[in-house]
Amino acid sequence: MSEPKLPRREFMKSGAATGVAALVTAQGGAAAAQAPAAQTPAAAAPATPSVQVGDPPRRHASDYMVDIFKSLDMEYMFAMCASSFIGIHESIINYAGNKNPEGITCTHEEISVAMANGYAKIEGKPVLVCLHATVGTQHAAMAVYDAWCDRVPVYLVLGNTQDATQRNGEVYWVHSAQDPCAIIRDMTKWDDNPVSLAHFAESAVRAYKIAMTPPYGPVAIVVDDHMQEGLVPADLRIPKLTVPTPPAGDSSAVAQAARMLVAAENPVIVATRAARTPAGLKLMVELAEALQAGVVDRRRRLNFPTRHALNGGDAGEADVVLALEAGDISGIARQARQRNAKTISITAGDLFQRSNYQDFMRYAEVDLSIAADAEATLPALIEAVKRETTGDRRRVFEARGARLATANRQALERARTEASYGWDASPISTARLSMELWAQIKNEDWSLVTGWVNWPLRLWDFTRHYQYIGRAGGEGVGYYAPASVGAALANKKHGRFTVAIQPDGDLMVAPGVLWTAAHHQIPLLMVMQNNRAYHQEVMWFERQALLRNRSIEGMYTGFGLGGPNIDFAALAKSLGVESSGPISTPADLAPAIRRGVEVVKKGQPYLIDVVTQPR
Amino acid sequence: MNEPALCRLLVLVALALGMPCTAFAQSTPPKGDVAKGKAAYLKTGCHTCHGTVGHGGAGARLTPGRLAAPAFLAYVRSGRKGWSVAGGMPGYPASLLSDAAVDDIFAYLASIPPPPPVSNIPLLKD
Repeated sequence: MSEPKLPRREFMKSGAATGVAALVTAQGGAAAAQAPAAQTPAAAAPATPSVQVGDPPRRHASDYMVDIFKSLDMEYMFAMCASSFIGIHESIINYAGNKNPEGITCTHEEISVAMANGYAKIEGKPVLVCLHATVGTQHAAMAVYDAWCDRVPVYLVLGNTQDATQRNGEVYWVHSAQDPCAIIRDMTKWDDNPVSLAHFAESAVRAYKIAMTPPYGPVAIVVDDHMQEGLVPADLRIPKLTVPTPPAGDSSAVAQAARMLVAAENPVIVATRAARTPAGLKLMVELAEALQAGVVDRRRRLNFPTRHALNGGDAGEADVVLALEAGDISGIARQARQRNAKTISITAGDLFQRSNYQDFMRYAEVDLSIAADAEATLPALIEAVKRETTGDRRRVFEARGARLATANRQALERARTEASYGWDASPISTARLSMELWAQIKNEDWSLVTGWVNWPLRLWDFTRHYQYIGRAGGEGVGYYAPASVGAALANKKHGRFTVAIQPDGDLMVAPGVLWTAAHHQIPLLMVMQNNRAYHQEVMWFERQALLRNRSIEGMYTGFGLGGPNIDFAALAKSLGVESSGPISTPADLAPAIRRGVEVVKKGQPYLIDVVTQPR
Repeated sequence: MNEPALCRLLVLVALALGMPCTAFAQSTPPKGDVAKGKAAYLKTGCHTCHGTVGHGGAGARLTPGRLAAPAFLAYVRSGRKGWSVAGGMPGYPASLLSDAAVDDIFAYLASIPPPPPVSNIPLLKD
């Protein structure tokens, strides 16, 4: 196709002095693009030499790209700025009025992608993430991997200079790639490198569709920087997006699963990412209650309310295990075989996988494998279970449910007793920290967006899907802080109170995200779990040394974060975030949390540096 | 089964079940030095898994008074099999931690007061 296009060098040479009429104003946005060019002050206009005064209004290619992103309901663009997508960035500001998508300034591409991960886990849809195709994508790679392993839809646009003759100097050359997506191809569902605007449009919509079809996952589109600079042919339209209905299980297989579950004496449901959406959480409750079966929530999402009477159970004692988007079930299936129990698996993971990274886990020898999205399959499974349930079975179910309810109450009491040990310790126990926090947020519409400390999941009353978003899918260090900020941004418009219990080592990977939270006024209460070490590795070192009968005195050499101790409160202040701490005495916690709650409720981030026990 | 092996087995069963190890109850006060024990506990990295006051963490809870001195020594020496840091602990040989140091650590752990009852902690009621 023939598109108006101006080589970058000519574009740069033309500059503002060209003084042609603009199609858009600095604040006018898309609506202003329709205004007659002659009415727009030339002095305020960006230069576009291929458009002449009196020409009919035509959009720049990057305006059209932004319109595509609008059609995909992209609320934000997370980006560390770069010249390779400057056309899109400029269009967002001057054509779209910096709204839908609104630009969010990030200080590292790993932050951009991890924020998009946290946002998507709250909001259930992607935001636009723009990356410099080479160095930016290299920075972003670990965060892309986290999203890949965690089945999170993340939408990446990589700016590149494809045409070698347009690379104006050394920097252009080292910032250009033949195949920019190669570095992340093993951890994305799909990518493309479009060669025309029409191609870009189709690929942009297709990418969204693929990202949002279970199993969700990251996608990437390369956009040539010169393609952003041309004008849009009048007849170019935006392809219609239709997100597919998620794949549900085969009806005969679902009926078989229901028969097995209803006939079982002790069925147990194991769920890892079963509740993809809030509706999924409700369906999980409905299924568990229909069967009066225990639910073992492995909590990569909130799959089941923590204080529900059926929360619990032991897959190791089940005669039928129902594994829903459960990840690694090889051990469960192996043990089940040994005691002649059966395992049923429902997962969209069977529908799509890549080879290199080993997140597909060990092969599980299950008895019934349904390749489908678990949440989409639940309605049919629930109905089938209800159909199969006779009066006799219902009485069996009720007795089972009563036993599980007793066990659930006992588990809560046991957790409370265990939390009491070290209650007054200094450094502060993570149980004490968790409960001091709970006392002051439990009456808010709260959302806990980090998953490292386990106490809240044992002691708090989680009932809503957004109240917990799991952990880093790839367990990459550096996920939690930016994912928390992204999740907090998603929660902001819903008026939710977002809280994070933030590991110290993780924050040190990309502390610049605190500035992003301050700059964009993203309300988040970040409470440090500051154990002054990469503590997991400290323990690994001790283990290694002891196995060799060698000294462990070097346990903080290369693993510790003391000497000097990091002053996270000062760090936060330097980045514009109000803060308090370090706090290592339990009695000092409550006043600091009270102040933090006040600040966050006013719409700002707040950090409390709490020096904690190692775990 | 010889006596040390039996001792280790009972300790591991007791810790696994979360039981106080009353079979090893000791009528005499600990013979170690509390201050030296605290220093040794921290220096040899016990706190990294068991918490600075023995309340547990990645490793088992050691306080209040779950093991008597002989069982505690057996636990330290034998460790607990497991492939990960959360599931196992290699034994500490005498070359790295002497019997006297283990006694001191035992005395330190024995000196740590029990936590307040859950019923006296308002934050644990909801």
